[in-house]
Amino acid sequence: MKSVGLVVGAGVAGIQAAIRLADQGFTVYLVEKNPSVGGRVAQLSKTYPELDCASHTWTPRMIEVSKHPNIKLLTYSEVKDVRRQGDIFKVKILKKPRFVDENKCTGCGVCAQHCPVEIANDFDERIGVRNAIYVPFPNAVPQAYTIDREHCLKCGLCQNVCMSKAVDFQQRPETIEVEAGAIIVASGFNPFDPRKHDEYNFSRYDNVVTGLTLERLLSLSGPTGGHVLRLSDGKIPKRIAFIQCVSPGNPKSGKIYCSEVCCMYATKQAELLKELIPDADINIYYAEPLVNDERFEEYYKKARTEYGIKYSKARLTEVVEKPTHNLLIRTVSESGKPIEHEADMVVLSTGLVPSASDFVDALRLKLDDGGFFEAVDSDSNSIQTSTEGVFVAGAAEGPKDIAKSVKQADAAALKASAYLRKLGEAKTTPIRRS
Amino acid sequence: MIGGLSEKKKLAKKTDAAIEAFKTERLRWVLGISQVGPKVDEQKYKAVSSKIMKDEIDRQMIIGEIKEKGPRTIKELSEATKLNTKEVLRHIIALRKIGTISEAGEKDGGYLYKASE
Repeated sequence: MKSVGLVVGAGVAGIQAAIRLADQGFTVYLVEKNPSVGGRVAQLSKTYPELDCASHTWTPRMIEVSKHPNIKLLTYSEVKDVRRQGDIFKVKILKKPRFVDENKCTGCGVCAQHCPVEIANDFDERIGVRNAIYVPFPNAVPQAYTIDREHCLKCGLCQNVCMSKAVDFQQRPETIEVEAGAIIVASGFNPFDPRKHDEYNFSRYDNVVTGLTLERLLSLSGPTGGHVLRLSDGKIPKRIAFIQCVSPGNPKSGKIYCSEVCCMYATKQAELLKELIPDADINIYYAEPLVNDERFEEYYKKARTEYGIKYSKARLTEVVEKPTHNLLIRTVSESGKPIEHEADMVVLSTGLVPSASDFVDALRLKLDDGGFFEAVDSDSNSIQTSTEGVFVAGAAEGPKDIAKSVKQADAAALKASAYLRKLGEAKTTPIRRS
Repeated sequence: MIGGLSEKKKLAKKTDAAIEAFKTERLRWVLGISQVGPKVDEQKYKAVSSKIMKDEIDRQMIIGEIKEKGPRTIKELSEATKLNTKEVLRHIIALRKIGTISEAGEKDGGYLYKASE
């Protein structure tokens, strides 16, 4: 058990950490609460700064964790309890019933074609639809369907048409107990829900959308096949305004922490929109200074000069909808002058908040002011949590982009493997890779 | 009289859509379900069956309009079917997912949708 690692969360950080640790010969349990691995990156269209297709880059890595001989992948599963016994963590994992046998399901999708139920797909930020039996997105890993029992009518049509006899309404939740020497927490983030402070009327106006909703509209495999349109009437938006720093107040100091990624993802989205709608007029409204990262200086410059994207420093007062469903954005300029600007669509660049986890108390992990896991390293790394043997990687430790998450996951896997070796007797079988 | 005629035409269209809708597997299932038996969750079934029926008829009106007149925008489909644009968009998204319709260029600031081959 001293050669076993547990990775919580199979987004970019969890996938990277699991592969790195498994490649060194350790057995890795990779636990993901959703039906598929991939995390937030699976929802993205293209990633900055190179505008790489997120799916092209990450699908092979997602498949790798499902095929790796040293990785035991547990999807649709949640860590419920962790107890320390000497050097070892005893972990209780709840495997939720899919009502479909993962080993029998071939992912053919005939079941979903016959399912009469149609509901909004959370994966598509509720713009797209899915059936009660579903895979959240086409490249899901594993390619196994899941029945959403909340909406299922138990009509049994899926069971009747399944050639592999994979549908199993008798499945029950299963508790799996594993022992691990080290844990890497990569539980990621959630986008901030703008309904929490509905100052921009997100919940009232269809054409006020979040960055992640726009991401689904831009995605070629998304609900509109990459065609960006207004949710009120299907019109192609020509005047698009981004509002930056739609983030939670820091609960302690009352200050808003910087989510670090929004300036860049808004810029990326603005560029993608410009490529899609060449005559679009795009304004990015910001009140706080743009994230100053030397990696991206050229990127902002290119957005301004080559794409003609406008950045306006202004304090936003309100967003109001006109009867045409166009939106009036009222701001106050730096000199105190009120300015009104009309847009067809408003995109809220929502920040990152921690993803809630059941096992925080059990592990006695310290959280920072924003609710992210606090790192207590003595060196420049930020991966050691307040509990020995527990490491953190990716946005679980604080808002960061994909490149930084991957780097941190590499470091966490390295530290975890060193820790496991120190625990001793780690009989490992390194994997040879071409 | 002209108004009466166009009302008749509209009604005929709706009837055609309903006939087409009842040919779909989804609606045949909804109608047949009471005989399928004890497994079905009756309460949930009642809640969704009327929605499925309305959705399928509305979708057939949209498909009928596109088949009759060629590629149409959401605005045009909304005017022809009397469904609001938001509802038309919801149906368009569902129909494009199952491959019944697809985009066919742009017109008047909106995408055109055609019936897939």
